[in-house]
Amino acid sequence: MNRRISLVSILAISLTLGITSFALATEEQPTTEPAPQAAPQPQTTDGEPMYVAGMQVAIDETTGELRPATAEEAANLAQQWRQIFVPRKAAPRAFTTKSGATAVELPNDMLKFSVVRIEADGTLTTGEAHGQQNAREFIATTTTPEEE
Amino acid sequence: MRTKHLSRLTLLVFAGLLLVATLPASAANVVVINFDPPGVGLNDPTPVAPVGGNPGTTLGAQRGNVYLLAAQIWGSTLDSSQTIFVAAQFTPLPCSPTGAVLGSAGPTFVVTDFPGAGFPATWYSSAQGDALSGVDQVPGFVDIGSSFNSDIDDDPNCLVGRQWYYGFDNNQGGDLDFLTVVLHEINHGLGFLELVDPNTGALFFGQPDIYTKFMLDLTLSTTWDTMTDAERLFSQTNSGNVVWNGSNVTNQAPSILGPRPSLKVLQPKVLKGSYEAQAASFGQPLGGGGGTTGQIVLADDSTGVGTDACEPITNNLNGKIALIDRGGCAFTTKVANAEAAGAKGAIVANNAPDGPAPMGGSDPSISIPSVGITLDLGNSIKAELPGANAKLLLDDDFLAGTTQDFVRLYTPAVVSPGSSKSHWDTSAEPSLLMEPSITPNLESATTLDLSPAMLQDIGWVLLP
Ligand SMILES: [Zn+2]
Repeated sequence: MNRRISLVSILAISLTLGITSFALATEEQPTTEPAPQAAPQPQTTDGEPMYVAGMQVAIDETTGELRPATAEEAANLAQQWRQIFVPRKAAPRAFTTKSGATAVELPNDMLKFSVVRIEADGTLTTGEAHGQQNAREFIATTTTPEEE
Repeated sequence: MRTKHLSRLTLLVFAGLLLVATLPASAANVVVINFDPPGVGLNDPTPVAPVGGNPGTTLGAQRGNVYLLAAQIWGSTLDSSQTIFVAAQFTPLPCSPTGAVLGSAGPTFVVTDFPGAGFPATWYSSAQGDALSGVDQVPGFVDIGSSFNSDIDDDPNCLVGRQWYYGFDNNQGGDLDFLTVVLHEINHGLGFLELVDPNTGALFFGQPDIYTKFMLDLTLSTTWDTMTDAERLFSQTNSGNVVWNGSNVTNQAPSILGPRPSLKVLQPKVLKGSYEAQAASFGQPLGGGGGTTGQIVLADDSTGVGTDACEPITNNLNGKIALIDRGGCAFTTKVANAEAAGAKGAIVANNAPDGPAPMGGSDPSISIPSVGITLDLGNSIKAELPGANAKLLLDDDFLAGTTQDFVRLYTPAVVSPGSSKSHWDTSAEPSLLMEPSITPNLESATTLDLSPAMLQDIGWVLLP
């Protein structure tokens, strides 16, 4: 029960801040289509990239306006994103978007993990891994590519 | 101009909310959302000196400036009415003194069957779905997630002696160029990505993604979206024969890629022709038209496997090109021994049927050119000795990293999950942004080399 409440509140914060829930710490999935809230609209003219200090902005649930995020929202959000190495066990689920398309949230273990290791001779080997486990294996491997 | 807008940007970052340079009106608006809490990551207040054109004076500001430059570069390349939201975070990720996860990234959602989709029943990245439909398909959520490892800077026991490099000038030395990594990872998030299960060959949710429609297997003469699972498993290790079947990339390749490192056999007639070779990462670079020509002589060190050249060579190689077998010691040892015996060049034949010998390593004392060739070609040449002449060169008749004029995808003989398929092949020269490894001093990073053409092939509209 408590856990359910906490999930709901984390999701709410995620939606409020207009971000993905793709790094939610919990293994549970949203059971409904993401609420059709607007992403934070940058206060800038078209064509200008913009940097939003995420911990400082949120879309107010009642007014729909941008407002500073509360300290609690900020802390919860940061905590979610620190969990990127926690794979979800639940299978990804397709849902219908407001415009009638079908969407699926990509699970963490399908993300690209960019990895590097320092070889015995000091050279760097970089590459990419498929998911968290594969990433850990890559950086723990020791090879000397110029040897045979 | 860049400096001007960046300093404006920096000021604004400190203010909390900020923006950047003016782009053409139709440029995609790429918004980077900083997800870090106060005091860490992108908000780290540690004072630092400006570096390589990055005017930031705190660690956090420098990190943010690189993200912003990457956003500007992508935003001024793509045409979209829809804002592309990129989540940005620096956080501790797995690390040891000798290895680290640099970061992770990708699309947050994939979408299918939206108005404006180029193909039905086909997955697109969230950002591309928004761009093609002119509607934010999953409102309230970022399109691309990204997270990078803060411990590389913060923990002295993480990747000892190496740091992130936040300059914009590609002058990272032995450090890790953050701009290149961010540009590369955002590219995956925009759609340089296939979703096939590397263990089973199954499509994601039973239908192809847009990338697989352009993955052509030249052996099977079919594209990945129409293959069986078993065919995809075969194809993912069909090295050199899986290519990008998109006309924009193919047409642009000659202006991006250089001549192919080759061994041109001049004699005997039965072997005459140009064979793809692996240029060594040490010694004299291969020359163009002239190249290095000579008679091929099999090296003999009279110890153990005589042809491995792991010990000083005992036969006369003066003015010859040494043919050496892979195995037993470093490539640099073999080529150094050949040079000491008077050879003007060296060829290392692979000892396994997995393409040319890879020829990595470094040894500044080596001055002759050398190449790796396949096991098969090595055996064919040996059967014709003496009486073989050849030239080591960059052959203008072929483009590096292509097969039948198509640009190759990375499908090494041993599958490399995460690297295989969603990258260009490592035989491309010069190196490309979307190769699986970060290439030091990648000149083309900020021009994005073949990436815009690839995105155009899958349906993105580019700015003129
Ligand atoms: Zn990659």
